[in-house]
Amino acid sequence: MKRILLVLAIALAAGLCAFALMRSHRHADAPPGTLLESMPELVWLQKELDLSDSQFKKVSTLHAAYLPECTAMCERIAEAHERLDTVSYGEMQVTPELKTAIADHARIHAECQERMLEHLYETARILDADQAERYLEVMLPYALDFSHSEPEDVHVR
Amino acid sequence: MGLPPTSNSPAMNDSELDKILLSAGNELPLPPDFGRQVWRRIESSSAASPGLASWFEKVLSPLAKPAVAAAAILTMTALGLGLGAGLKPRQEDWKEAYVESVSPFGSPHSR
Repeated sequence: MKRILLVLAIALAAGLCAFALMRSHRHADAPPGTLLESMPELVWLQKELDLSDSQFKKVSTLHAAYLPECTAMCERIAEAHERLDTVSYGEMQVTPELKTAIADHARIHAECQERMLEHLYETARILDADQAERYLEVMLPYALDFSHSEPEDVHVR
Repeated sequence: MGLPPTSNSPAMNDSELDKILLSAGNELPLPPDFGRQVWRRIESSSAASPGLASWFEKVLSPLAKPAVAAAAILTMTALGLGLGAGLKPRQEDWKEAYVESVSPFGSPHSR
């Protein structure tokens, strides 16, 4: 029985090692210490647009500089959401505080949207015409997200 | 009457069994080796329901053979490689990762 358990343990360990090995192999395109290893999200950009080394380096530098800004914007948006949420549930009418929260929320949203668009256009300018067209075609819908403001047929009688 | 209880038999002695049988009434004549037959059936039913450990041992006993053990290890290795390869991120996942990294409106940034 001990021998059987030993075989089972070895088989299980072999399976786990093989799984871990294959999982770690997913970064085979990203040698250690490279930009792709530190920013794996750029894999898509590189493959989808077939970037040259020079283009990829410029795009990566721009991306790396934008990331902290994007994180800060993300936090500002979350805070504005939270504030608007808190203020709107505590009242039975539109108070001056609620008006301020609405205005802040809209302003922060617009500022962040503008900055995101600016980054997309900056990135597109590094690319050639075809690459830029393809890039903006894919990315602009995410920046111009009308899902919360798209007029629908609800007012049509 | 009959065989005494063995180590596999429930803890009941013959006198208890006799009392139970007598209390059931004795309209029908019992065969002379009735007690022996009862104990035999009790023992055989105990032997016919092996525990989980013995079932486990029976099922896995082929693993004691070197060829079967090697095959099991190879199978598990192949399974691990297959699952690991299957869970590799798709192109669409990389795209989503890029979109999330540049959009302040999506899920919170992990960096």
